[in-house]
Amino acid sequence: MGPAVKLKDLYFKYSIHTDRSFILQNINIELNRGEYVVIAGRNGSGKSTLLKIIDLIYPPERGDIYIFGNLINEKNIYEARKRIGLVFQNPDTQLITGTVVDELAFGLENAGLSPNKIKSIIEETVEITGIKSLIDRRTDELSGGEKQLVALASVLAMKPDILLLDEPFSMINVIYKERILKIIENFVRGGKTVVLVSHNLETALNEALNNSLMADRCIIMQSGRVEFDGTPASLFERKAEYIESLGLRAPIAVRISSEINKNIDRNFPICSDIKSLVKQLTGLKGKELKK
Amino acid sequence: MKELIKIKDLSYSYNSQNDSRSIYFRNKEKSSVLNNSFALKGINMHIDRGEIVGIIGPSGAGKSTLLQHLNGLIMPQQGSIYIDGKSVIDEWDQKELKKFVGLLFQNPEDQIFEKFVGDEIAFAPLNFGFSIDDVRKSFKDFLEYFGYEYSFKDRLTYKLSGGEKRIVAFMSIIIYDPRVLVLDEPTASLDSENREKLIKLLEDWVSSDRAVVLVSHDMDEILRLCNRVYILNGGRVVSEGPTENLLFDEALLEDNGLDVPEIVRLYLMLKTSGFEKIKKFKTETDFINWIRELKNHA
Repeated sequence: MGPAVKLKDLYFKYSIHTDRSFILQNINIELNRGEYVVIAGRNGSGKSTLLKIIDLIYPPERGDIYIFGNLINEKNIYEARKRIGLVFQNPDTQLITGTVVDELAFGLENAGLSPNKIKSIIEETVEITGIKSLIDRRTDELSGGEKQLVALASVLAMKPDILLLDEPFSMINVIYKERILKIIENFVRGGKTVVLVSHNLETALNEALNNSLMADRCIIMQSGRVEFDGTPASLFERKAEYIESLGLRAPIAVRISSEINKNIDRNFPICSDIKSLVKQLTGLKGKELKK
Repeated sequence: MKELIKIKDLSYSYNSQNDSRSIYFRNKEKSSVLNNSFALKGINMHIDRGEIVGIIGPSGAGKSTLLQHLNGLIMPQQGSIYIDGKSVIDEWDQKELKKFVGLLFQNPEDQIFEKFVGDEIAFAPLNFGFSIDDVRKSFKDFLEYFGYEYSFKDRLTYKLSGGEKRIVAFMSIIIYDPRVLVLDEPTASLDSENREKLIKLLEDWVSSDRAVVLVSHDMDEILRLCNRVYILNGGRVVSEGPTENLLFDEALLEDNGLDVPEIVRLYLMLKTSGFEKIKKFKTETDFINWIRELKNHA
């Protein structure tokens, strides 16, 4: 069946900029089942465009897209789309109905499900996302964070196999964040694929670190190309300076340990999370006191 | 007068329509909207000259609704707001008020409406009577500051990335140099370079005659920038005080659905791991200096 998503030699540009360079260039990415991948990069590096390509909204200018091993063509694109869910960066571009519950029902109704089925899926989704108190609210009166959560819920209701999240934490507080992380975790455990796009590698990975759900892979975009594709640990090994040169902020522990390693103690190891940093500092203190 | 903004007993309700309920859940228990219909309840607040004040709280606490009151976009239903000593209801000319208090929306797409970046940024200052030459000059300065070519002016606003839109929205306000900047999640989709530039700009911009009101979910940013914070929850002010008191209070933050800043998490963990006498630090530089001392001292 092949990987969940495979992009091969892919190029893309928005047709209106015919004279412009490609927004995405020479993209070769495979995303596996049960994988949690964080895509990061500077503003304008092509992250959101990449997600829209994977969501099959935009056809590539050149190159091939495979979803679960099938080369996407005009015939199978509609079936493939049903397996992919994208939560947009801006929930206002996604929410279209008057009330939250109608928003959740919209996709299901259009998929032709029976009212009873719709009702049970909505109840289940509301439970998972914890938005029971919002269901009768008008979507235009929700706060930014509430809108983001509702946008996510309406995608989850469609039960996708591949979940694409564009900056899902940008307006969200810690309680909602934990819920979303829990949802991601359950998704990945169930063998599904989650792709999270963030301009802020620090937050994306810190959240993961604090909740023991680590991304399996980081893909870092730079001017429309894949600059880095590997595990978070292999990224951190390259130290904070490299991560900063890509316009990103390393997690705080990586930043501080890189700084100590560079300017204070050359033997100080690069730590990826606060716990191991504290452990190292305690060691430093002990060592220094013994001298 | 010390106070630039004073809010007294402010309450606001969105008048939710209950008849817009869905067909799937009709005739069920009463909507929670009824109990929740006040977005703001009895808010008292003051923002002084020279301050950067943070407003933090969980999603749906009323932060954005409160901010939209500060330049007259939403008028107080109950209570009053004084800006520079004058009531927003009847003592301010509304256009002058908008020039005095610049409001950056949470969602830049609610704010941007021109086709080209240049026109978007020139719109407010030209309407406030600035000369085109002045506008052009400061536009160039800001473009340079954020690392854009002058040709950025000709980009189509609807083709910008999320982060670029946020920068454009920010530039379109700071360009007319309001006395108060009211910013709703200004760094939410910015990459770390742009975020750093924006934070530095705010630090330099605020002076004894100006003030910044900042809503953010990034607690490290709040800790770094703000002198004082208000915690909003369920439409009420539940706590107020100096940043270094409130943001080091793990229990208070957790009760209000807020993150503990990363640097505070580090501090608290060190404190319970053999560094009992460690001083509070607000920035990483302070922290690195402390490690240097620790090393030299030993």
